[in-house]
Order: sequence, then C-alpha cells, then structure tokens
Amino acid sequence: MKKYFLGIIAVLLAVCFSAFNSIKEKPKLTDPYWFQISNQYTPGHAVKQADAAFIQQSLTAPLGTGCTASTYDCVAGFDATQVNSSNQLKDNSQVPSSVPRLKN
Amino acid sequence: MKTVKKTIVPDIISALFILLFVYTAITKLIEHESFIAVLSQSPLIGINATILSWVLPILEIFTAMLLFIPTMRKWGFASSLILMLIFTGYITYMISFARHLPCSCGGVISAMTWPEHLIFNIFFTALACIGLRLTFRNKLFIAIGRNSRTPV
Repeated sequence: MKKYFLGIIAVLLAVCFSAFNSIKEKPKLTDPYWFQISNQYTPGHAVKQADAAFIQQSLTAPLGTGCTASTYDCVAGFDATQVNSSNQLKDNSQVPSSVPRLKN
Repeated sequence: MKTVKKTIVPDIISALFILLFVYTAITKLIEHESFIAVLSQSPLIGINATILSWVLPILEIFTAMLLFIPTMRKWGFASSLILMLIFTGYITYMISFARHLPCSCGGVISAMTWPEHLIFNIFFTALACIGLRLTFRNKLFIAIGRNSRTPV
C-alpha cells in the first residue's frame, strides 16, 4: 500500500484540480465564421474583404478547397464581431482568429 | 542515502506525471467540445481532430495507470517520454508556423504562452528521461544483486 501512496495522492490532487477548473465560469463558445481565402496571406495578417469567401459557421473548421500545403491562409476563421450581416468581412483590416487550413 | 534517493526520486517523478496526465486528461474530457474545436483549428491536426480528441486523453490515462503500478513503471516512463516528445514537437511546430492559434492543452496549462509551454514540456521530457534511467538502473542493481548471491 505504501508504494501506491504518492500515486494515490497524485490522482486525488489531479481530480481536485480539474474539479475546480470546471467550476470556473467560461464564456460561451461561439462558432467561428469560416472563409475560403484567395490570394496569398500568411497567418496573423489582415485579409481583404474581396479575398474572403464565406463557407459556413460551425464549431469545427471545414476542409476548404485546395488546402494541401503549409504556407498561406486557405481556410480562416473569424469571430462574429468581424463579420457583417451579409456574411462578409466588415472591412479590409480583419485578422483571422484561426487559420486551420493552409496552402502554397 | 543514495539508495533512498534511487527509490524516492522515481516515485516522485511518476507522481508528478500521474498528476499531470490525469489532470489534463480529465480537463480534455470535461471540455471535450471546445477541445475538438481548438484541435480542428490546428493546420497539423485539422481533419483528425475528433479521433485525436479521444485518443489523447485515453493515452494519458493509460500512461498514468502504467506509472501507478510499480512493476509497470518503466513502461510508464517510456510512454511518458514518447508523449512528451510528441507534445514538444507539436509545440515547436506551433511556435514556428502557427503562433497565433490557441493551445489545445487542458486546464491551467492552456493559460501558458507557447514559449512557456515549450519550457514546461522540456522540463517534463527531462523528468521522463531521468525517471526512465533511474528505473532501469534500479532493475540492473537488483539483477546484479541476485546473480552475485552465493549459496550459504
């Protein structure tokens, strides 16, 4: 029993910590707006409105078209605050909140 | 004193890994939906996000179980080392190519920045190496002790 002591303590601590973690209030996860990006933008840079074509709004990213390499934005996600009511980017200065698919 | 160190140090290291893996696995399972969402946004994982979202916590819990059982501990350390190397490789990739993305790790660890997380992972990778080395040394020590025992 003695040799399991530290392990048992570790498991109990882990369960306690994760329990506290789940109590913490979290903001509601809103589904990103996914856009197919034409032209060459590296992740972290603003995308022009004309180069972003709306695909869908969903929690997980769509596959996109021709996203098979690793240099430029291919499918990019934007928050609701960055998109207008016609599902277009608000202006030419919106930086993607995530870029799950890349292309060359 | 040296023998005490040799037995206590692997125990402490394995307890730290159990704490880490059980904590992150539970957090990943509790926040499963957001875990998939973050994983799916990674260019490296993307399409396999759903499968990985189950495989990762299961592997972590399995590794913690191996570490918990003293006779299986060396396999637990080996598994921990492999997992930590994979995680560290992934973080290095993210720092190099997708620094803007959030971390898909569980709990308070996700509050770390990518460089902080890299240091954290390197530390735990080193711990896994030490644990593995000490566990193998202990086995060797016992084996030598048994072989050299002469009949009375």
